[in-house]
Amino acid sequence: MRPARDTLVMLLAGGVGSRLNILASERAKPAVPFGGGFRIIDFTLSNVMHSGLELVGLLTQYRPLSLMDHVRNGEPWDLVGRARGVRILPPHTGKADSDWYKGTADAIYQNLVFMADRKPDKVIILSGDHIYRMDYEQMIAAHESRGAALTIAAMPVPWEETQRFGVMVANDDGWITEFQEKVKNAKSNLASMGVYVFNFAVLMEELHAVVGAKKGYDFGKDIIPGMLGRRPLLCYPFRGYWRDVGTIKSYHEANMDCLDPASGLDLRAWEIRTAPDVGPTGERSPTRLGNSASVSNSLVGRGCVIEGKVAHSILFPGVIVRPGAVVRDSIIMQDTVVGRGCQVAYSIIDKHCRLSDDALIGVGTGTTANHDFPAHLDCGISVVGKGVVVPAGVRVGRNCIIGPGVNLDRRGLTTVADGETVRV
Amino acid sequence: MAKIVGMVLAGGRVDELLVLTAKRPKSALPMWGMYRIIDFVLSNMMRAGIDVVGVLSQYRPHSLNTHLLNGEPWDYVGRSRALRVLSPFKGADDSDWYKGTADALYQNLAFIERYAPETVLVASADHVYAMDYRPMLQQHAANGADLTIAFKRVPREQAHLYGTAVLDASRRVTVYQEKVRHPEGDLASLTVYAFSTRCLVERLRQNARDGQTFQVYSEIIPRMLQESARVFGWVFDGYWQYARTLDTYYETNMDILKDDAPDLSAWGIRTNLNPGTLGDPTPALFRPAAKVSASLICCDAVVEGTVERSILSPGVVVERGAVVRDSVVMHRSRIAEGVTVDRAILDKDVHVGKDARVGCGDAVPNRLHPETLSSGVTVIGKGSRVPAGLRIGRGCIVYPDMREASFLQTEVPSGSVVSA
Repeated sequence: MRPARDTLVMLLAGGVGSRLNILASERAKPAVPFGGGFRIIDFTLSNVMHSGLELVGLLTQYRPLSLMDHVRNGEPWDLVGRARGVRILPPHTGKADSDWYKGTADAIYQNLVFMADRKPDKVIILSGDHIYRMDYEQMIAAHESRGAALTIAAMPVPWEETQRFGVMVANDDGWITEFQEKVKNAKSNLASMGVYVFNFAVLMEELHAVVGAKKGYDFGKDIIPGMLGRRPLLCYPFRGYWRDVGTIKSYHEANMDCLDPASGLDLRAWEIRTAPDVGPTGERSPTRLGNSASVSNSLVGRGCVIEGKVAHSILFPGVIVRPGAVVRDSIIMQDTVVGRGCQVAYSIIDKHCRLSDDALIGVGTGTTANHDFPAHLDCGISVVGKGVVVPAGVRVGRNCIIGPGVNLDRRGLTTVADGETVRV
Repeated sequence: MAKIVGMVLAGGRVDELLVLTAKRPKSALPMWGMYRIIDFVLSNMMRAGIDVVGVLSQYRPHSLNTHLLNGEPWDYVGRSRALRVLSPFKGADDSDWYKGTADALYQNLAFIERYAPETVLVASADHVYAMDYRPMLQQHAANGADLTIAFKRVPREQAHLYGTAVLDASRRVTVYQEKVRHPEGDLASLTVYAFSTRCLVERLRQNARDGQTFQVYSEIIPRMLQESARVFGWVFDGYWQYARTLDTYYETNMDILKDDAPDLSAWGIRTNLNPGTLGDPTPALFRPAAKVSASLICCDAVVEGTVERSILSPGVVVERGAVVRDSVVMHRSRIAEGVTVDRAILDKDVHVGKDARVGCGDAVPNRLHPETLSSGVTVIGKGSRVPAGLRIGRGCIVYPDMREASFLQTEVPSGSVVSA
């Protein structure tokens, strides 16, 4: 029997991607579009499928609509069948102990009944926030053969980033001796990827003892440190491409990694599955390139019409690039129209935007960070939210944010200077 | 609208298409990159709100069955909706392989009668068109017609290729002639028939008793006119193409690249997006050296070379330095470095080895099959491997699954046929 067969998946997909700013303001982070036709959660769900796992509890909380529309019954990931399935687990009210999820461990604790009903031997806890390809089955096999109570996947990260992660120290046999959650001056650069394999009995006991007693609500902060020394905790090292894409800059970089054969991110080889994007009418035709089109070093989804120039960019399905327009170093999502003579540089344009003729987005060489969100946006990228209308000839500089639904025409703006934010 | 059952004629083997239909019926032939020809009639049926469709299929139905699934791509899933593939079956006495279109319908009368429709819309699966059947069906009902046939006006010099009719002022059919040398009319039948169910049942039973060709066009329609049944016409004036020969199949494909091409998204043609392999198609990848213009490119294609005025189906790979011009390249075919492909149809899974040339020299008709291939287009059958450095001329036909050893010389002269 495949070791994955008696393992239940609990997928934490409630993530608020606050540092992704307007890209994740109306959708959960796992539902953020990626790679010209995917969403971030597709990577985890595809890993689940390729690992032979069969039953997934999907924990949602923050703005779950896009996510539920996307995952549906799990069919794209072969999760339909007698034993296979995806169950959406939203926060719910109950007798005493339920409420909005207060943390990762609390979310799992509140769904103990769901888990116990399935009588799993092991539970693998995943998040839908990361871009990577991993065989969970090997990890589960290691967990079993080493006799661990909990196995945590870990990978080395640059030392300067350690404070964003839970980090662990492991001995030569792989047993974890220390665990620190998001601290300065960490003792190790071996970061937890948030992938946990628990013996189900152990998970139940720990959750009752910690979350049930209202002592803590988080795996990294409360559960794992409390298990150290009492239980065998195994570190499972992972080598390969793994990105958190939690910031606009890392999101843009990871998208561009799809174009670089040396990056390690290979959409084709990874066999990433997604729910087919059939567009507003139930179908999308092949992409059409006009006589004057020029497309290079780019990924282009179905149903695009390209008559302008596209270089080093990611185009999602249904994007229209009119003659004379130039798109470079940018990510453009579903059904956005780039008008004649437009220039779009180093920008992320969300779905259903209308860029009228000769609009300029992300142009110039300005380095002014975004005034409202300097921590989110200081690398030059401009971000345009879903459904924005940019009138003809308007110029939007660098590090700008145009919020979802903004109609610059009605606002009478002809210029959005470097670092400015425009909201509805 | 009256209750209607759609019956799609999809079984026919079409010898004129030779290598392209060696392993599939014409209705399953790819068209415009990601579609199959049957998608057009099924999408038309779906859009007309016809909830039950039977697909009559007999010749090598495997690719068709895989493509149609349970009808889900065309929304034929639900309590009251159905898409069924109706293959020949054995029964108490009257079953057999389908002998013709009328016989195929006759053998599936039980399917039709189960839904007790007022009207049966019979349509061929072999045509490329987007038609709203509803006005025609409304006229059919308003006329109390036994049969209403859809026509399209064609140039006089082509009329002999079709069943043609003459209509009177009330659109009643006064003359119907099947592929005659000098037809009286220039209205060509589109093989779209609305029958009143009562009339269809009666006529099919009669034909089963005394028919000879068992074809709707050569027996049912002429006899109805002879007996003054209420047969009317409906004239359609949109895009409509019939890939009768390899030349017309190529031309129909190329129509989508013209300036006045049918607007695919307005047509709303649906297809089965299931690739049937692990891993969904990724977006098309254009490498830094890619040069692509005036072309239709499907998902999962990888282009590193030059592509002009061509159609690339899903999964096609054009390597560095390769040139593809005025060609139709089907699913997963791979064109290696330095290759030139010019005015050619490459069926699925064809591999063209390094520095080979497909389509070079002067255009000549194919020597063995000039009636279907005279335009100089070269056709390579499914799964064939073209050896590195080989030169294949124009107007050539290469049969499916040819291997390096099947090519005896380093050059395949224009107009020749390569087969086992």
